[in-house]
Amino acid sequence: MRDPLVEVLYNRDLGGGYFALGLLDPVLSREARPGQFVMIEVASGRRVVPEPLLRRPFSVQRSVETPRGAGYQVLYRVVGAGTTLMSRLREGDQVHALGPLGRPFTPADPGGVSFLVGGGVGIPPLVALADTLDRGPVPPRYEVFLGVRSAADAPCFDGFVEARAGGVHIRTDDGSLGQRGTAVQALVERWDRDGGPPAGARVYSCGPMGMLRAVARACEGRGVPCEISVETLMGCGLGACMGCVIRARDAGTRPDLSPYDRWLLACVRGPVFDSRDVDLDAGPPHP
Amino acid sequence: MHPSPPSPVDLTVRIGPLTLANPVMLASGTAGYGPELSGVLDLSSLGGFVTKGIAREPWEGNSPPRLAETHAGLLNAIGLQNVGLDRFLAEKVPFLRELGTRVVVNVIGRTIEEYVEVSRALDSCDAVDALELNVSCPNIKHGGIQFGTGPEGASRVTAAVRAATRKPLWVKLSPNVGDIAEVARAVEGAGADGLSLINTLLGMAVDLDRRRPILANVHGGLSGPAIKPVALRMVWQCFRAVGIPIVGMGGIWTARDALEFMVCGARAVQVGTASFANPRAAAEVLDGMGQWCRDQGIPRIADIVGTLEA
Ligand SMILES: Cc1cc2nc3c(=O)[nH]c(=O)nc-3n(C[C@H](O)[C@H](O)[C@H](O)COP(=O)(O)OP(=O)(O)OC[C@H]3O[C@@H](n4cnc5c(N)ncnc54)[C@H](O)[C@@H]3O)c2cc1C
Ligand SMILES: Cc1cc2nc3c(=O)[nH]c(=O)nc-3n(C[C@H](O)[C@H](O)[C@H](O)COP(=O)(O)O)c2cc1C
Ligand code: FES
Repeated sequence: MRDPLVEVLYNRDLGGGYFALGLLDPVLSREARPGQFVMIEVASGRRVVPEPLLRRPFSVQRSVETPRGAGYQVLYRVVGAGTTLMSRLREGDQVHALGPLGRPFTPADPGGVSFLVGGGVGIPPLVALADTLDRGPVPPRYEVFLGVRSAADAPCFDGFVEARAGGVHIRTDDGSLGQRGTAVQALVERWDRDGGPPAGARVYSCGPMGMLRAVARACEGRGVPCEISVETLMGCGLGACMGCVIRARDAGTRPDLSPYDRWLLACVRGPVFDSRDVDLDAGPPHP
Repeated sequence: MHPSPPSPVDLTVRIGPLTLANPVMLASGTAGYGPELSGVLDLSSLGGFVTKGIAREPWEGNSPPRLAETHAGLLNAIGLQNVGLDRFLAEKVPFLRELGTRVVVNVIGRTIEEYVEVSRALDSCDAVDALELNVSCPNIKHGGIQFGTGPEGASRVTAAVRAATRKPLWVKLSPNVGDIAEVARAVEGAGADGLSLINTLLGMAVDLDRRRPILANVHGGLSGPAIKPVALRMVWQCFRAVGIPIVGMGGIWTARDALEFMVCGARAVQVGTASFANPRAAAEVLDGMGQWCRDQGIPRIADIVGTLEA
């Protein structure tokens, strides 16, 4: 893991408050695994004491090749002070970006079928995963289920607009794009229609907490292994501040678990967890 | 003709019996147990490393949200989640032994006996150069006791631990007190070899629209540049009140911040929250301190300690 000062290749306004930030970093572009993230110094170089003080975590969405060199892209939505500053970055600006951080998704078995289930700004790490699957030694078998609130959030689908092996299913809460409904509903309908999940099924998911709860329930009820990537508030990304915790499953009742291990550091033990290892109902009331 | 190379600045400082290669350490709770920052920061270049607080048993810590940013500050209510003494010795000490810098263990407890037991166990641990008693964590209350908030409690725990260890003993004071100099004097009288100050200031952050506190614990400890003026004032007051060395911290972001602490009486400093924004902050602070001394023609950094003219 490194913390280089990297050059902004571009910072494209995709509309609807979404931006795609390209950063020049051949090493990270090569080394980052799907599901890993970077901590970006959003208030870089503005003042001695930055405002906001802390960096912000973002998933690596995809590698990019440019005439200037290899790098990677982050897809983000402007939601507060940090992302507002980020949206003002210009080509040629420099920022510190620490990474790659965290535990990535576990690579799929060659014979299995992967289901990628994403919501909103949780979709970007699934692009990285699909890209990796596409590059695998055997023809990949995977299907993608994506959900957002409305057509205005279509920039989230960046990276899944091009054809993907097993197809991309899109749902919106209001039906303004694709069918009305949620990504998890679409996944469950799909399985129900086929009389259950296929043998070797495996789910990878990232999105808002409500979606992760639903996908974990759907998978655990059907015996399908499910990895989820959680978003918590992160102070350092390195395991040093202990701010980013998520509750371990059955933490209070497992005699084998040290009290220390009841709260797991999402930045180093995650952000990707086996859904059965965490309790998504405890903890921060994040949307 | 070549200009003669600038003579190197002597950066060593002494905290009681302990000599540090330079005055910059990483503050407790902001750098984990060592490995966390070591991928991006050469810990052996620093004067010392202070571990996360260690209790006799592992502690669970508080529910999240545990962090809230404020203007120029950070509120935390981690609740001292820690691996506990046994696992610290088994899993963390081997790394610390090879660190190549001074290792200071931050000790916490819910009772005086717990402080004593941890300190006694660490007394025989060769990897540990000093103990820093955290009598001042604002996020833990047990039976209404907060040792650090009064001179009696702080000196009681200091005296009890003093009797249990020969390691250099630093006591980390809470700023959430009326008269910091009084607490400092009490702790000195109880046998402390040094003072660390300051810990975080009790604070709160509010989500106005939802009318809820942002931290699950409601209140937390404020750190970062916002608390530097308070920390400087307390270092200066304690410097004038006691004879034992002082380790200063609170909002250090730049070399100049650190040097201000030294001029106010700190022999060494710790960098905390700044490492979150920039994991190499401590190394950059150290570089800048050496540069400032060269620019000022100061051969020994220890000479600036307490030189404030006031
Ligand atoms: C591992 C990880 C990967 C991420 N990847 C992406 C990504 O690829 N694209 C993207 O757009 N965002 C991503 N995020 C979320 C992103 O980090 C936050 O949106 C960002 O930190 C907000 O910063 P801000 O200063 O703009 O907002 P703030 O002013 O800090 O917060 C604005 C609002 O957003 C909420 N919020 C802040 N952080 C989070 C969070 N982590 N989860 C949920 N709500 C939050 C706050 O409570 C507040 O209501 C990721 C988060 C994590 C932990
Ligand atoms: C997230 C966090 C965790 C901390 N944990 C501890 C701790 O375990 N023990 C302790 O004595 N101080 C702890 N502190 C206090 C710091 O060591 C330091 O005294 C304080 O943050 C002021 O310095 P700073 O402004 O440079 O951060 C913690 C601070 C932060 C921000
Ligand atoms: S973000 Fe600091 S420990 Fe996870």
